[in-house]
Amino acid sequence: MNRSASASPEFRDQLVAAIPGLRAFGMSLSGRSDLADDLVQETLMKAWHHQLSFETGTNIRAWLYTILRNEFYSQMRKRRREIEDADGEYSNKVQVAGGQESYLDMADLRFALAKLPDDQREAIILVGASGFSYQEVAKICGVAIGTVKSRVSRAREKLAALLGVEVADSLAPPVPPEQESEPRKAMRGN
Amino acid sequence: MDGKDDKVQKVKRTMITPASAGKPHVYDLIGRKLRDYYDEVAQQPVPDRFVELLQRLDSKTSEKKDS
Repeated sequence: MNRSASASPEFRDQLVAAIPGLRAFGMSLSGRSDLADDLVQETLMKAWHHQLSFETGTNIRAWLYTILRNEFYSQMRKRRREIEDADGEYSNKVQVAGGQESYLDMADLRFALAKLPDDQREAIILVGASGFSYQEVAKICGVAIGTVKSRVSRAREKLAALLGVEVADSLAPPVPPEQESEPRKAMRGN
Repeated sequence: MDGKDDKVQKVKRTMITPASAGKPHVYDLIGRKLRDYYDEVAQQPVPDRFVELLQRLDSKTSEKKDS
């Protein structure tokens, strides 16, 4: 009944195997690699100390992502003021980006992600990049599946609004004018 | 009829082919970009600091157990 019994080699291996994905998740959530690695470190430590509360056979990946996500939000709450300052810079850069490269570059994507509401950002990352199912994401985020779906679709629309103008311009015709107008309006609205 | 193919693609990465998408090519590009961004980090080798961290945790817990 030792609370911190030493980890089984399998548990350890599973943690190690999850690290690359956790770093990518932390990076896309926070937009910063140093923060991402701090999040991963906290996640590994928490997972380690709570390994007995993890039920073997259940989805360890989803469990770890949940820990990282919760850690991220608790750190964000602490840093809120600092982040809001940085946000001002981000929005300037996103707007400037429209006139530069004709294709979507990584920095633009990062800034656009930073502009999404937290719940939409995590939803689109978990579904679109981490490869979790809607059901798993619902569990990770503690909401209903329908909520996840609508967050993903709103995130997608918002990203398209922030970035879609450049994309549409670079790819030329396929976007009919009336569909193009939405992102353009949204860009101006910012 | 063409719409049926969309369903097949949907299975893997859901966001790529949204049923209601007015601009699938834009979403496509964003989806790909998001995954590129993600995978760029996910494909990096595990940094030593994490391997060391787990080793440290491991030796700590086994010490505790022994005492």
